[in-house]
Amino acid sequence: MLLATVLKAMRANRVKTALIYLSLVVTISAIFLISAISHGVISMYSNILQSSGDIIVTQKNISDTFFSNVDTQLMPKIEKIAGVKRVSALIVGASPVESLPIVAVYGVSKNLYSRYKLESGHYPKKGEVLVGTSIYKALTNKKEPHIANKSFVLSGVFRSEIGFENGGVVMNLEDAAAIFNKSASMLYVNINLAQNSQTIMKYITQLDADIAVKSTKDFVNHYNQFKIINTSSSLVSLIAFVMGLIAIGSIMSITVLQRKDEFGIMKALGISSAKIASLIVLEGVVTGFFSFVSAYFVSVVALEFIKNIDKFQGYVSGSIDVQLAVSVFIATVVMTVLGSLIPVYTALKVDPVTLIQRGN
Amino acid sequence: MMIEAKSLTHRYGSDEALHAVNFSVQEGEFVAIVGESGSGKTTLLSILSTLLTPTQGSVEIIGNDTKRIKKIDNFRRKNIGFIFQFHYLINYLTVYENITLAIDKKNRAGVQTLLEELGIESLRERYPYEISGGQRQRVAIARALANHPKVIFADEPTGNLDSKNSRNVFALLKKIAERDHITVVVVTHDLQQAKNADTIYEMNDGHISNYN
Repeated sequence: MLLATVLKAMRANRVKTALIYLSLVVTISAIFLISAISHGVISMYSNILQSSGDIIVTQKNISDTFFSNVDTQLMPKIEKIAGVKRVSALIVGASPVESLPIVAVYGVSKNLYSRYKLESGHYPKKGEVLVGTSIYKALTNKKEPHIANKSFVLSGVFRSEIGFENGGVVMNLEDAAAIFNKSASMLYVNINLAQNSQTIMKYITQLDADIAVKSTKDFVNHYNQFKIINTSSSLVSLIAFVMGLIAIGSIMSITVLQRKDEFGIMKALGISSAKIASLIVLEGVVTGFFSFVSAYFVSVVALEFIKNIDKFQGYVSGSIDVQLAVSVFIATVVMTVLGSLIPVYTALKVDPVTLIQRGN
Repeated sequence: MMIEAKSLTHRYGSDEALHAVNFSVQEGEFVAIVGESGSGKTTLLSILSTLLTPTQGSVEIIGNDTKRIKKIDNFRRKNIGFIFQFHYLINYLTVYENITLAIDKKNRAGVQTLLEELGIESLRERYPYEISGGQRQRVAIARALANHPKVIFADEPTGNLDSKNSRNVFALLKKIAERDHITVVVVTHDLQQAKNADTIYEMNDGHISNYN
């Protein structure tokens, strides 16, 4: 009965219901997209790190891996530590590639090549470069692309499961070292499962006073860039939430104002203020539910569309997981409950006869 | 005593609508309050029926001081029925849904009899905008009676109807009130209709007096 009454009231006030629905779809989609894209960026980079090694070695007191310089001469010394299976090196840089102003350049030691699945060609030798599928489409010179004022021979094309790697180029460590004037941005250390990582990390730390050694999990959890992305995305989502709340509150205020005589008569008939408020809140929540479902599908389609825009080279990618969906659903419910409750609570404080008279 | 008001004063800002009104109604009595527009009769009815809080004074209804009733909505639903000039039916609800909007479960079974008695059983599934003014007012009466109230307050119940419909509605209300021993307080500007009441009071500039 309650839900039937709510649905009838929504139909009777269809223009305002539609306005609330549209406001919510836009707001929820914005929250979904902002969160999904930022989580996507973080999870892609986290996956690169986590799939590459158990321990990460960077230069000490460096705010970002872009500025880190670790001496690759440490690699054989680390390999000698008991329990270490493999040490690999990576240079992460960014450089113009032909007409593209900024492209990720990965200089990798040979034992990391296998992470880039070849679509065609072979892994790069000296003076050669392997490019991701996304950037390959954008290259005008597909045989000898120009990277950082130097020509490289294209050795092949790779596809990575980590979307934004497909927008980058891979070269051997020595070539990248020459471009970026560093030995390595970081070293990845793989260890035997049975081995105590803390002990190994302690030994590695003792090798050089200028290095920071962290477990990959610890590194990911404390990586400044992730914190910045997370904070920015939370802030923008919060702004979207507040804007949505204001929009619902405003439209609901107009609805409540126009329906004051209806609420007045309900109160006169003996329907409690709590029940009247619950009718209005339920109207908001039902609208919120349909908006949430619509926004979910809008966001999924939008994310798929964004992912396939060549211009973004795979950098902008995201997906909506259960945790994000549940969080946004809770935010939707809170938004609709607050947006509906505040105007109706204010209206129901006055005498029924005043409501009836003001409604006319 | 069914209703007893003592020294009721009500102000809207600096305008005094009621001035120290004393008023009482016996159980089962049919009372009409007449007066010109702006004389304070609707304000008095609103206060007596607990829809408006007076600036000063007290109202006792069915032995309860209205200021001390904790669940006023509940009290209204169980004891008071309302009929308004503009019927105030909710447009997006059917006739039946309007009548049963605030009904207690135990009274739901009696609605069909009420619809038949008021001659509106065929309108059950119609919406207020699909029926005539006279029919709407019958629906409003049905809604007022649905919970078997002890008192009915009616504010210009026939004010929006033609003379034939006015007579019919008033006669119907009086018949049911007498049969079910319901106390009725009616505000009206129609003196002819008011003469059907047991007692008539007149409001004049916020003062009440017996009508002669």
